Amino acid sequence: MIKLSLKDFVECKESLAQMSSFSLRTYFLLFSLLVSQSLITHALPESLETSVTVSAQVLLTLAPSYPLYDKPTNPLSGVPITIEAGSEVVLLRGTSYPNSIVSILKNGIVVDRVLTNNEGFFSSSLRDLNTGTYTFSVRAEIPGSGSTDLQSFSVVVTTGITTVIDNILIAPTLAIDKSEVRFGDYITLSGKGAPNQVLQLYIISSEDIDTVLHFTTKLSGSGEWSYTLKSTDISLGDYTVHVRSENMALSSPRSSVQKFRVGDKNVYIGIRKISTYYCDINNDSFVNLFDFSIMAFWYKRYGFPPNVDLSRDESIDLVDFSILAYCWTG
Amino acid sequence: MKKTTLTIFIALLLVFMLFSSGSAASIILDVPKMSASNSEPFDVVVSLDAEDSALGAIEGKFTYDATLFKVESITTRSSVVSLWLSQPKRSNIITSGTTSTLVFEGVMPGGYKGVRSPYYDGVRPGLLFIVTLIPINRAGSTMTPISISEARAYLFNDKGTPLTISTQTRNIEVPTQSIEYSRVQNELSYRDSNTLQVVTSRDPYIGDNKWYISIIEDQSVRPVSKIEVAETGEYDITRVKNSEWKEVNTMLYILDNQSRTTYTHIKIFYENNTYTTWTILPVDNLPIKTSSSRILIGISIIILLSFIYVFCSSHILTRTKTFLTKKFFS
Repeated sequence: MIKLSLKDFVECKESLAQMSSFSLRTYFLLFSLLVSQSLITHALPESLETSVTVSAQVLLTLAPSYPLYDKPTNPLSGVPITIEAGSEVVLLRGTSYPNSIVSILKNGIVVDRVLTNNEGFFSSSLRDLNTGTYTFSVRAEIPGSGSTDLQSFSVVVTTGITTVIDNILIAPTLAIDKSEVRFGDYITLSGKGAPNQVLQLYIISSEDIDTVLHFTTKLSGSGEWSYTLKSTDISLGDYTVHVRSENMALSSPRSSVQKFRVGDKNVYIGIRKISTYYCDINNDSFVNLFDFSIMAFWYKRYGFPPNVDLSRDESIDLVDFSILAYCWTG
Repeated sequence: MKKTTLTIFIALLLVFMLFSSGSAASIILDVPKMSASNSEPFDVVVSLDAEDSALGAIEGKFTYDATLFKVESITTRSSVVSLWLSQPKRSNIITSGTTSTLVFEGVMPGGYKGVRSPYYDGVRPGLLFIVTLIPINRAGSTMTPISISEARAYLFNDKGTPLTISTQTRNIEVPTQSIEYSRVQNELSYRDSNTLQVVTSRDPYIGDNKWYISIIEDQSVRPVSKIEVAETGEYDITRVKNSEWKEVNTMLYILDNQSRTTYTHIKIFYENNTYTTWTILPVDNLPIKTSSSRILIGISIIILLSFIYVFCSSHILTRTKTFLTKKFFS
């Protein structure tokens, strides 16, 4: 059993928070390289779940004005957009878990579904679009791990020129094996995503959102990751956890957020991805125009079914529609 | 004393600027400084700047002086809003006294953070809608405001957090118009729509699992002004009586005839004075009642024929018997 101490990591992070943004970025890059190459690649074997215990004494307080966990790139605007000569109007290219289905949405409607190859790459071309602004979104249906959240780009396109939305890095999935872990026991975090990326894991205390525990691991060549966390490394209380993957150039948007508690008992929930089920009004496993229609029917009306009121504020208003937009799958 | 007052004033101004610049999004109005004097139409472009926020929904009011302007057209083509709850269109304008108000409410599935293009770095504000106004001022040159008010955005998160956004009021000089405005109204004409979809569905969350129809149309190109539905036994839509047509206020209509044994005709009227139609055929054009009555009629005919046959047979037999008896035994 390999035991890793991340004490040095904490010190690095603490000094990071005090540095200027430029040097912070540089330092972060160097640090990511150091972590990914020295620690993870050499130290962690393929199946982390069974062979690694991570002793993580990483309590890190960050400046509230600029949370580090949203730093690397802007997920909605970070991908490079270029032009090419071609007959397509829009070309979307990116990476996700190998052999997963990637849905391409145009203005909220699914217009294409493509399969990622063994390396996780996908490419989709859209034709017959007029010049104008469109919102393109992508999400991946990962076998055995559910769907990723939608990642959107509002882009001006011109007919006669191919606009390329490139290097889309779809967020990895995240599942936890317990909703509550007994203090002293382990909780396993796992998921799937684009292969060979660095995975950043953030655990945030519900009592104090500025307290962030940050861990780094790596997605395997087949696109899987797992992390076993000892609950004694964090104090009793409620936590949220999310992950994002990144490479030298880009960072994915963050994954869905999961919640767990460090308490006095173990409550197993199995390895699953908590989806956007609470927005799926008609229970068809999609959040799309049908759910929108149902909600639009009840908009500013009384007598609506309880599950239409997503904000639980006893009325159907734009808050509910905004939540629906957040859960949108197309 | 004067210096102290000035210092306090500057300090207050700085504090005000600091707080006023804290708004996380804004709606931008692009209005010319002066309109033409020959009733020439001009565009008012309404854009949304998300700044550093990701937005899921937006609402607001567009107001102008109804005595000075008429709306020529409103377009949402190329809008960053994919789904409208209250679409900015001519039929939604409410005039009270001298002020006309246009309410807009829309949803952005997948979130909106600004518009990107291969031709510039970063993000820029995206279009919400364009209102084309015609000056109709006949009472002397005047300065008038065109404004956006009561605007609010909702953050792209699982709570749909409301966000007050900064708005603008722009003044425009409207000279006396040398030509009186007269709008040539085109005659109502039929035009096919290749973007119209009508879906029949049922759902426990709409009218206790009643059958309903959803009317889905791309209104960014052809805004809908009115919808009429007729549930009738008449096959030919042109022969449906005027009294049978019912105006529908939403894009979702619960059918009166839940057994769906009648024709459902739908007329969709567009703002450009065109209309299109859609007919949903009865799902059961051989109702059980008809089948039963046909079976009963069939059985009755068989009984009748049998009776005639038996009667005739017995009559012929009797007559033959009588004839033979008379001939051979008399």
